[in-house]
Amino acid sequence: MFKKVVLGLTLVLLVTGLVGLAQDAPKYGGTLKVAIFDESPMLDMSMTTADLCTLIGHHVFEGLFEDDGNLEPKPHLVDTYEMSNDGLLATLHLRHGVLFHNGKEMTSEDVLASLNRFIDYTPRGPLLAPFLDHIAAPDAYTIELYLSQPCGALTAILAFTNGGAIIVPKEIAEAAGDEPIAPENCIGTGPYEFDEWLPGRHLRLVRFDDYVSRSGEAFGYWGARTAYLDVIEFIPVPEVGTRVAGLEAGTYDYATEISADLFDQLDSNSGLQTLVVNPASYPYYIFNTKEGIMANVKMRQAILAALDMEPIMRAAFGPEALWDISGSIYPPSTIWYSDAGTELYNQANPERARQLAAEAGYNGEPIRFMTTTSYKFMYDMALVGVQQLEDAGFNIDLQVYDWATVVSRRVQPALWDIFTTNDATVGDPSIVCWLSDAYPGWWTEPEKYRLVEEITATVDFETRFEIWEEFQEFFWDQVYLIRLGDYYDYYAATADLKGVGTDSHPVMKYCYFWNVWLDK
Amino acid sequence: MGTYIVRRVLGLIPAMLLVSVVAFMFMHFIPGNPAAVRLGPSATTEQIERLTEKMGLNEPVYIQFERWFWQVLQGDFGESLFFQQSVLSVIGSRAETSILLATLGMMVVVLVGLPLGVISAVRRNTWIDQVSLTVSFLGAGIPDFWLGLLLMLVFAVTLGWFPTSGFPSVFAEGGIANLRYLVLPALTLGIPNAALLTRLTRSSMLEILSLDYISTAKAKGLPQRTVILKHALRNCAIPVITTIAFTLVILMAQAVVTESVFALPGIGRLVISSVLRRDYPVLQGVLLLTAFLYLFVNLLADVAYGLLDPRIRY
Repeated sequence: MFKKVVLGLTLVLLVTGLVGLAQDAPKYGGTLKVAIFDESPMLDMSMTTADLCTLIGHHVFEGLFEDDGNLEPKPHLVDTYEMSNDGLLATLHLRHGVLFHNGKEMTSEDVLASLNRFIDYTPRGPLLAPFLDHIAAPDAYTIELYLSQPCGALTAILAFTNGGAIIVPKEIAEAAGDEPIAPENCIGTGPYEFDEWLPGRHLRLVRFDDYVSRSGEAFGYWGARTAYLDVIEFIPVPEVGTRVAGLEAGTYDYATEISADLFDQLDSNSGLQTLVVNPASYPYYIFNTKEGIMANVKMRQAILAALDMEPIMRAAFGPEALWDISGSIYPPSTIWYSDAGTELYNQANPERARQLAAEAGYNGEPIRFMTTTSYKFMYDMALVGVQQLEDAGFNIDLQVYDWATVVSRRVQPALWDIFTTNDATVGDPSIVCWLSDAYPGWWTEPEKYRLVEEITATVDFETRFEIWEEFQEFFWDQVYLIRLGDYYDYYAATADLKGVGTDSHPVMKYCYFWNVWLDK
Repeated sequence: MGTYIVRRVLGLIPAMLLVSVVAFMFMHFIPGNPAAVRLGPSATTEQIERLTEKMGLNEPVYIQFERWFWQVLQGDFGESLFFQQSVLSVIGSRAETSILLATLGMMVVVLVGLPLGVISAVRRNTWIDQVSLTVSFLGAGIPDFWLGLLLMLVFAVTLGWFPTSGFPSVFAEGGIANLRYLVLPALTLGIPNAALLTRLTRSSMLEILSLDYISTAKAKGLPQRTVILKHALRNCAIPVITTIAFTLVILMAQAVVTESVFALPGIGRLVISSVLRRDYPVLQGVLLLTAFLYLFVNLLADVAYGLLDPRIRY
């Protein structure tokens, strides 16, 4: 009898254990419906830095390197690589047997043609071009990058997903040239391939059955990828209320671009999960340092002195789970985090602001402050900041436009003094977009060039970090822009979506749907 | 009648010409650059300039207009700057949704608005009239944005009777059953306009019902039904037809909001997103087609007057 009971119990335990396991085990199949806020301008993610294009495109295309969950670049289509001692030659050994969606094996000639197109024609090409002398393909699985000067950010640039250096077949790269690759020719090596694009309805990707994954572990965008979902549909749904209602009703499984004020409502819904992006992105006010009143550094320091960040961040981002007060250019979860120079951040000192403004010779001239209602948080963060500045005696001329108008006005230095924008945290300081001369704001301080060139040309991390700390002190002293804090964007998904938000699959800026599955 | 129609059709030409000039100029006076939109926020100034030139947008506006105008005369509306497809195919792919939505919306307007108006007039100052007036005031006053979200929350999220949003083509999987995606949008679009039609029909009917010939008809002992439907309703047809014709055009214009709320792939939403993307060729194409439609519906209404009222001769 006793034996039977033990046997029975063991069986019950075994079965429940197996059922438990089965529930947690990944499952193949299903269609994931992702509600996005607009149409992507194209599918060729190398030809635009529009976020929506990256979000969709990085399921189809892959890079030689990809960022892991800490934004550290790791070899992806590349198997191993080495750097010469003088830092002027990078030899990349490609993985064998990687297949394109057309069944062809990826070899060095495809990589060569793709990289050449990336450098010559794409918006991110100019990041790499100044360092590159030429590229060679000595055999089918080797790529040699000959550099004109050492480049500490080489792998970070190649791994940068947004406007990324994607690898496509040679014939497609050459035929496309400076035009975006047409959707039907969007052939990559990724776990999903292009199926159908009906503008206004959906853009559909289907599993690429012959996908050749990296073996071993996965972390963030990098590593082994398994496509559990049969189909992913990206559906443009312009109204946030509709994206959320669709998620609650089960019309969609995943929604992006949800305003912060809806976070608590979604977070408390047991049928849903909220997925908070880490590392944070950061909103900022940026100054016109080329022309007008803000070309005077004392004025910029005066504005910085006046600002109290907490009310600004609270108005823009709501629930405390979604924002932090932090003056480090890089957020805490990254290797570049530092508090150097941050004593100048968040002073909330209108008296000091008045004093600095007086020293700058400010006499109540209007300060043209551009913002947009296209992004609600930008409008909110402008309103609260402008109030604080007016209380500190500044005469602010708040100008509100749609985003496309801001983009066209901000390139004209005669038209503005300050505007609001935001940026995602990127893998390496040298690819931060506002460090480029061309970026509106036109920061051309010689010391900036010195520090940026030094950090880019240095390969050793410890040394690079020291230069970065020096840069950050300089950044807060010169106030080219005012970083307001850390903002954690978030997505919402049905609770049936499994495998997201885990250690190996952290929520990142561009949601990624490999290694996740639907448990319906 | 024949010469009248020919004359009216010829009259469309200068009107369309004017619309095309105004449409073109308006678009190009809004600041913003489609090249910057396409390349994304991190593109360099030189890259934006290069693409602007390639798109032919750095030439003087009148040269761009001339080129566009000759193309349109040859039936070529150009290529969308955003989708890199021909404008006609971009608009064509949205036409199904817009036509079906306007048709269903119109059905709501006519089937609800007209009978309610007639009943209100006939049962003037009774509780039915009061209720219908109150409802129509409410209906006309509700913002369509709010009404859309409300219907969605009740009938899609809470009750689950209809899908929340989107519209797969009836030619795709699902066939005619896909029309259920348009039920809530058609109500959103139809209810405020039905309310307007109710009030208009009621007041026209009241006016007619007080005329002598109606009293005569009643005195002859004609059944109430014949008096109302045959004698009265037909005579208030002119203002009602005008309203219905314009409502059809308004339904297309108002569809901008409804299509956005319900994420429908229609022409209204295409207009909004094309403005935000500064996709000039698509906007010009849509404006031209909408203007044409407006003038055409107007013409149809005028022709209908002649058919309904033998006293009107052209």
